[in-house]
Amino acid sequence: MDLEQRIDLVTRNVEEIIIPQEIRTLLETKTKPRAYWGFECSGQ
Amino acid sequence: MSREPSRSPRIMHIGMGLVCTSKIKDMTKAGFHFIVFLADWHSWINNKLGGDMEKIHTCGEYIKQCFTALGVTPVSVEYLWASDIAKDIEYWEKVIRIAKGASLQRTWRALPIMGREMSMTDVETAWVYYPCMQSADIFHMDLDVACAGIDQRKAHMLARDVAEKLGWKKPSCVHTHLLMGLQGPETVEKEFDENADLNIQISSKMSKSIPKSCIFVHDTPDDIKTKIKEAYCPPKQVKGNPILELSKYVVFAERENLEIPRPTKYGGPENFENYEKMERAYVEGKIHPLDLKNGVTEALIEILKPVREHFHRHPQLLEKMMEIEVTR
Repeated sequence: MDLEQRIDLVTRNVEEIIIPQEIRTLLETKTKPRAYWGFECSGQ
Repeated sequence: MSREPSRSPRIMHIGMGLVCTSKIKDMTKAGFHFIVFLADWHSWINNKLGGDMEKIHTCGEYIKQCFTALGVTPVSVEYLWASDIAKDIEYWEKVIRIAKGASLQRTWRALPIMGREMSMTDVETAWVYYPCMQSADIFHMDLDVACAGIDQRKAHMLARDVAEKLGWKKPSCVHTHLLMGLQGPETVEKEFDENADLNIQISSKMSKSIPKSCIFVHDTPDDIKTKIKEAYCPPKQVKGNPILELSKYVVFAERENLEIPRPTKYGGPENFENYEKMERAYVEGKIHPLDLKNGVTEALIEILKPVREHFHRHPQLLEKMMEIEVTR
């Protein structure tokens, strides 16, 4: 998968990216970057 | 075959179940190591499930099973409990460093994450830890990107500010849309954010405290049909239309197409390959709200099928959650 496709996947359907250029640089330089989503155990 | 449960727990609605899992799957496809962080300590601070840690853990396991059924499996992501990292004294050192590096006012402003209006007298002191722990989580797990709904942006901005101050890695952020409740946009009564559009989005979000506004991941096909049938869906209008939102953020996020079952005299059924084309047809009046609703209903029933099937085969945790819900 090329860089643009990866960026599209990360950014599609989102309200906001902080900061788009950081995501681009990250995906250019790191093969397995680390991300998370935290969930309270009660639903939302 | 055992009978389907007659009542489903109102724990996870599709805002959480589907908008989150779609984005998580996007992230893993894009090459991320993704951590689904089950925030048991945070739930305790926020008095979720009566602040009962055993119930909180049951709920975390239930979330894990729902997500797994929706394709976010323990193979594709790492599931991690807050209590796992809370065992490490270095984690708490970070919490304190963050608390020392941010003013009380700044931390306070990051608090509406807990979705309540605040007054000093009914806020437990423990709540002040919450944003500090949220930031510490990000640094302790050595994350590059923090994902959450847009209502969490203040907590993430705090983490970015703190990172700069302490010379730690600054997390980038991906903030997702909050699905509107099925009743449509609400007038803003509480102020959550300085931004007016964001305020409407937060006020109008799907909320499990208003069951009719929500589709839950366990809803039966009949429940889904009834709720969507009664939902707000203004003709030819995009703004404030919860059904168009569902098609954009849920159906097209999960699938390559959406079939709109239109009566023959109005042109017959039509298959749309992307949201933009379908939106255009809707705005032009080529899709009637009823046809849109029927198409979205069928797609949602299909998308949620794996959850129903999973708990049909493994009902134990679901039954436990239902007991917790009754006694809540």
